Amino acid sequence: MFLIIGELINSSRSQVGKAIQEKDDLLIRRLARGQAEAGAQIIDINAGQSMENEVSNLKWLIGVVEDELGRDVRLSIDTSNPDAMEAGLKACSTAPVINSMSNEKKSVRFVELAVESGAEVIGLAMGEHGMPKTAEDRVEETRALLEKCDRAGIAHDRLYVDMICMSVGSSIEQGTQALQGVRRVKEELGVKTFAAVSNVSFGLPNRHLLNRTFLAMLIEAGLDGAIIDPTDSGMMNTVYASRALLGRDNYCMQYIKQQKRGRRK
Amino acid sequence: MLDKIKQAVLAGEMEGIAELTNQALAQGIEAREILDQALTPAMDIVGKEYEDGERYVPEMLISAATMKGAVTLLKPLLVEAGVKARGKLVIGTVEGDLHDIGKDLVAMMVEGAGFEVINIGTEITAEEFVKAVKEHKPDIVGMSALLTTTMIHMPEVIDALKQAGLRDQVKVMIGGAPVTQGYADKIGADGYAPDAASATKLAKSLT
Repeated sequence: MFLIIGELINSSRSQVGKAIQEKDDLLIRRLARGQAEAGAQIIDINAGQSMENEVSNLKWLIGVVEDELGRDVRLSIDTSNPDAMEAGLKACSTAPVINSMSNEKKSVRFVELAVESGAEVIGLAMGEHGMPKTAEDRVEETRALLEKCDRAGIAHDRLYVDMICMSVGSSIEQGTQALQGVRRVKEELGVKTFAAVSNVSFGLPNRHLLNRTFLAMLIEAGLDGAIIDPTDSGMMNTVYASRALLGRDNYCMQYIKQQKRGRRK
Repeated sequence: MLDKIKQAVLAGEMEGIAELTNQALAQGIEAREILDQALTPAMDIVGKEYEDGERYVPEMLISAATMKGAVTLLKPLLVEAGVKARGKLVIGTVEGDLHDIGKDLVAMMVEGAGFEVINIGTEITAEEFVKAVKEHKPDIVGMSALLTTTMIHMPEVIDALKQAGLRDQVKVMIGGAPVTQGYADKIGADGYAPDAASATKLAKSLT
C-alpha cells in the first residue's frame, strides 16, 4: 500500500495559523475529516509557526484531531524542535510518526526519540553534506542515515526516506535527480522512499499539473509514500491510477474502489 | 541599442547578450550607460513583474543570468572607469540551516540591481558573519532561515555584530519562510523582505 500523509494541518498556511491562534477547532476538524475521508492514512500535524507556543499548540491540535477522528487515523508530528517532537509523540494515543529526522548533527535527540517511542520515522536524505544536489548525494545521505539507524537499533522497515524534492523552477535537473535517487535508493539500499511532492513546482504556474505528473513519475520509479494534499482529487487519482497501471494494484481493486467512492460524492 | 539590450535581458536571451554588449561598446556606448540605462532598468521591470505575479521564478532566473552575461563583460571597464557598485551585500543562511534556494534568489536579484554581492553560503554561524563583515566591509548583511528552529540564530548574529562594534556600520536585513516584519522589529533588524524582488527594493532603500 502507498502511504499518504495529508499535509493540510500546517501552521505555515495562513488559515491554519490563524485557526491555531484563535483556537478555532472547527476549521481543524474540517481539515482532519476531509483528509481522512479523501484517503490519507496519516494526518500531519505542524504547529511550528509560533515558536514560543509550539508545544502547547501542537498538543491542542493533536487533541482536536483525535477527538474528531477517533482511533481511525494516525498522526505524524511535523517539527524540527526536539522538545515539541517529544511532547507531540507522548500526546498521541495511536502510533505516531516522526516527521522528520535528518542526518544533521543536531538530529541526535530525534534518534533518541525514535528509539524510545518505537515510532515510524520519515528520514531526510540530507544533512551529512548539506542539501542533496544529485541522485548520488541522495544515495549517500540515505546510506549515512541507515548507518545511524543501525547504530541506534532502529529497524530499516520503520523508516521512509524523503528524497528531498526541490523546485525545477530554480534548478532544472532536480526532477530527474530525485527520480534517479528513488530508483537507486530502492535498488541499492532497499529502504522505503518518500517525497514531499509539491516542492517540485515552487515558483511555477499551474502547480497542480506539475505535482501530479511528477507524482506519477515518482511512483513509477518506486516511491512508497508521499505527503500531499489528499483533498486534491487530481493527486489522489494519480496515486491510484499510477499503481493500477504499474501492476501494483491487484485486479485494479483499489483504483475501482476509489473511483466508485468519487462517483458517490 | 540600449533598448535592444534591455529587451534581451527581459526576454532572457542568454546566447545573444555578449554579442549585443560588445556591439554597444564598439559603438562607443560607455559601460556605465549600458548598466544604468539598459541592465538595471530591465531588472527593475523583472522584479516588479515577479512581485505582480506576471513572471515566474525561472523567468526571473534567466533574466538575471542574461544580465550577468553582460556584467561580466562590463566589469573590467567599470572598474577602470572608477564606477562603484551601488552597495555591497554579504548574505548567508544562518547556523544549522542548509536551505539555500531563497537566499540564492535574493543574492542574484540584488546583484542584478547593481550591488556587489558576497554570498557566504549556508549554516553560517554568528562568528562567521562577523568575520565576513570585517573582511568585506559591506553596507548590508542579509540573513536567511527557513525553519523556526534556526531563525532564532538571527538575533545572535545581531548581538555578535554589536559586540564586535560593527552594528552601526552595517544594516541588517532578514528573510525566509517563518520570518515576519514583526520578528524583524523584535530582534532589531533594519528590514524584512518576503521575496527576492522586495529584498532588492529593501537593499536599495537601506543604502
